[in-house]
This record gives sequence, structure tokens and C-alpha cells, in this order.
Amino acid sequence: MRSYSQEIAKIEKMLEGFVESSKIDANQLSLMDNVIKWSEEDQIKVLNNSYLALDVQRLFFGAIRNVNVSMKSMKEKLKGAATRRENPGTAELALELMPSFSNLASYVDLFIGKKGSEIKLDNVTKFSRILYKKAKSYGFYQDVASQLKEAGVTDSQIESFIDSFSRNIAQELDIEEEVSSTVESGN
Amino acid sequence: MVIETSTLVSGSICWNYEERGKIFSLKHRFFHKCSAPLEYCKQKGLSDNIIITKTVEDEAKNALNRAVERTIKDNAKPSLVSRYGLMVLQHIVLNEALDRLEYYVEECSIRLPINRDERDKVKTNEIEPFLQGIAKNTLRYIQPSIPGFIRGPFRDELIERIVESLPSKGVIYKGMPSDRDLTIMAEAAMIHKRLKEKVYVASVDNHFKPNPVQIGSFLDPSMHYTGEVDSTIRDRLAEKFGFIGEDPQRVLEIIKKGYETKLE
Repeated sequence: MRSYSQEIAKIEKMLEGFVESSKIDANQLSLMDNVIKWSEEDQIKVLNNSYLALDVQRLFFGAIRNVNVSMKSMKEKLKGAATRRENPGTAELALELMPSFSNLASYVDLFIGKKGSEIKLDNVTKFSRILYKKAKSYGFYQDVASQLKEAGVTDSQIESFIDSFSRNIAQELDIEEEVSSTVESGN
Repeated sequence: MVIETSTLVSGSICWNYEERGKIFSLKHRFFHKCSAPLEYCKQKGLSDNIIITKTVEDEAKNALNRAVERTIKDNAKPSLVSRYGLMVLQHIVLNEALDRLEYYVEECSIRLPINRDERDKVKTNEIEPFLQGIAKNTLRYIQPSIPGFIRGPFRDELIERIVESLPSKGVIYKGMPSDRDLTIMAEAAMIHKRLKEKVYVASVDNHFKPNPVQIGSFLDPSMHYTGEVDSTIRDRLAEKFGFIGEDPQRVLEIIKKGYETKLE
């Protein structure tokens, strides 16, 4: 059975090795492939699980996606650093991110192991945001353009999302009616 | 200044994406005026004057989440590829909005402790009954009862006369606020009590700020605004509880004026 926590522990050990030896060994980076592959598959599994409520589906899709996007980006950065024979600064940063991966991984493992009822959803939200924010600030988060391209998001999908979201936000805030009465029209 | 949910949400929505020269922009129509006071205060070192309560932060996040969920439902298609794309898109957009929202909370504002029991008492025993008393005889808009056969300039003149006679014709207010709004009002009242100074509540919601005078219902094709605002309910709330609901743009003007006067 797959365990994100165990794989992340292995990756952490690998990164510690890089930092100790002051060298990033590109040959070892394939150790990250399991997490990348599983998290790609698990995003789809979450979407295909019609028994999940939409908020739970979104929560775990987001959590697993944050693991996937950060790990993929981290691997690329480490690979680049190895090619350029940089000192292990990138590995040090990656190592700093590992506790955030571990914290979230334990919840993803419970979810994948169908122990969803044991999960405190607020914690998943919290740890998922922490991983996203840290990964982004360290430069280990795939840029928006690549994400949208990889996901096959079309222009019309974006346009439709924007229209619909704007309408729903107005409805949510109940300020739709005041549009023409405001001092500023915005953009 | 207390930031109200509508301001925090509107000031958080600004996502731009450019693809092959095509620009996609998801910017709330009130983004500029809602983000401006927060940015100005941060820039001038005045962030200690801005308060975002836990209730407002939570409510803003909930509002964003609910809007995203509705958007997913609106755009749902059976194809897995399409669903996957939609989920990726919502994940990106929501994270961007939350980044901005958390930036306002963490870097542009402070938070005072709020005793929740006391707040609930203020809400239930003071704010709610007070508003029930003053909001029941208000109008959402003015619907002049002019026979349909009166048209053209004469009709317009009649409408103008009716509007001129405000407030004797009625007080314009959006109606009884929701429980969430009442909670924020109670918090603002408590903050005023504690600080013993003027507390502005920056809001684009007509439950808090002066209401624009609207002629005709939304279904009426000739519906329009006169350009005037009715601040009756806002003023009565201010008089009784000490918080002044105001449009964020106006609040920014007040802050700027205060800051410049202090410098002189």
C-alpha cells in the first residue's frame, strides 16, 4: 500500500545526504517519482469519487495537488542545481520544506487509506496552505501558465470561470444591486 | 478602522493571466477602492489603525469558498478532462485570493481580543432589537406611484419632486441585516467602547454604509440612482453604538486627511 509519509521520509533522508556531502546527486532524484506519480493519480481518483461532498473533494484535491506541484517543481530545481554543480543551497531549501510535506502527507495517507472519518478537515486546510505558501516563497511551486497548460485548461474555460465566479461573488456579498451606485467602477 | 467582510473579499480578488497576448482578468469591480485604504495605511505605517476581526476573516474565506463551489457547479461538465481543468483553475484562483486576503490580515492590520460572550450579548440584546426597531419602516427604493399614462418630462419632474421630499417620504435602507452582519456590528461597537474614539467600518455593503437613493425597482427598465445617499440608519447606528459605516473610498479620504493634518 502506498504511503506518502514513508516516501517523504526517504526523500528527506536523500536531501540530508546532499546537504552533508555538499553535492546534489541528480541520479538519486528519481526517488521523488513515486510521490509525483501517485499524487497525479490521486488527484483524478478524488475527482472520480462521486460519494465525496464537493468541499471535501476540493480540499483533498487541493492538498494532493499542492504535494504534486511542489514536489515536481522541487525535483526540477534540484536537477537544475545538480547540472550547474551549484552548492547545495537548493537542497537546503528543499530540506526546510520537508516538515510541511510530512504534516500534510499524514492526512493524505489517512484519506487514501479510506480513514476519512478520522481526519480533522481544518488541519488539512491549514497544512495544505502552509505547504503551498512555503513552496511558493522558496520558488518550489510551478507557475500558473505551466499548470494551466498541463491541465489542458482552455481559453473558453477560463472566460466562463471568470464570468461565473464574478456573478457568484456578487451574489455571495449581496452587493450586486449596488453596482451602478458606487463611487468607483473599479477597473 | 474596522474592515468589513465585503471590503476584505472585494480587495482580495485580483487575478490576471496572460496567454499568447490574450489577457484574462478576474478583478473585483471594487478591488481598487477596497484595497487602497489597506495599502495606504501599510505604506504610511498606519496599519495599527486597521482592524480585521476573526469573524470578518473567517466570513471572507467562507464567502470565497462558497462562490468557488457555486462556480464549479455552474461549470460542471461530465468530461473528466474538463472537470480536472476546472478544479485546477479554481485551486489557482482561490489560492491567489487567499494569498492577498492573508497579506491584509497579517501585514496590513491588527486584531484586538473580542470577548465572544459579550459580543453575542451586544448583538442579541442591543444591536438586533435596535435595528429591528428602526429598519422596519424603511424602503429599499422609491417607487413613485405615478399613473402609467403620465410619461416624458412631466413624469421625470414628478419623480424629481418626490425624491426631493426625502426623507419625509421614507428612509432608504437595505432591510434587516443578516446574523453575520449583526455580529460584525457588535464587534465594531465593542471596539468603539474599548478605544473610546471614532471607529469607521469600511464596507461596500449597504447594511453598513449610507444607502444610494434608487428610483424604481431592479425590474423597472427606467430604474436609476439619483446620486444622493441616505445615511439615516447609518447615522442612528453611529449615534447609538459609535461605529460609522462608510464606503472604503471615503474612509481612505478621511485617513489621508488625518495623516496630512498630522504632518503639518
